[in-house]
Amino acid sequence: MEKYSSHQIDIKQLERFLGDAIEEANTEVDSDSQSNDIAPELATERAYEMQLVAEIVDISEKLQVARQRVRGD
Amino acid sequence: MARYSILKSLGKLASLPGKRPLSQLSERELIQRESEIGRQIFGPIKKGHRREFFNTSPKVWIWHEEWLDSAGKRHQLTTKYEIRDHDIWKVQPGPRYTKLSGDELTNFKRAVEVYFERVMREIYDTEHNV
Repeated sequence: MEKYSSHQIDIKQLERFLGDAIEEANTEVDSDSQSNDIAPELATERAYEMQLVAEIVDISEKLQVARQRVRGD
Repeated sequence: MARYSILKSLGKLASLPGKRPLSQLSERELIQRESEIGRQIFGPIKKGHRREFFNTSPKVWIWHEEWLDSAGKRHQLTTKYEIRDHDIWKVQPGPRYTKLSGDELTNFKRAVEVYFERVMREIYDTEHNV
């Protein structure tokens, strides 16, 4: 089993490292979200992508529940 | 029933030498265990490379890659996948941000599925079909 003594995953550090990038991304998302006109031919593809994202969110939430369950939270 | 449960628990401990029970691990340690699986699902890792792929919250997935170039210099790239409303944004240093779509989104979804199936089966001992 690999040891992590010299390669710890520092999640907090990663979050800080990318914090500024996320802030800029937020700005872009907000301005982009104002364009709600979707061509009809793209609607189906968009619906499919939204379904994929919803399934990813569902999986992510289940992982959180699994962690909490084993820790007795 | 109780005896079966004890034997089952002993079997788990025997298959995980040197590992503490899951209930004693912090959330971060659980995520580290998950990443041991996450790093495997994209194929072999070259010598000198290090890869991590893990989920930190219902809205965030992280990909981290480190490697040595021919001069022995270490490089690293961290990509954060942030779920925002009905989209997933890929955020990289720079900053660069890209909304996942098309094949990239499909492939990411598949990677998340494989991660979930293996993590639930190999760590949390639960069968889940997505």
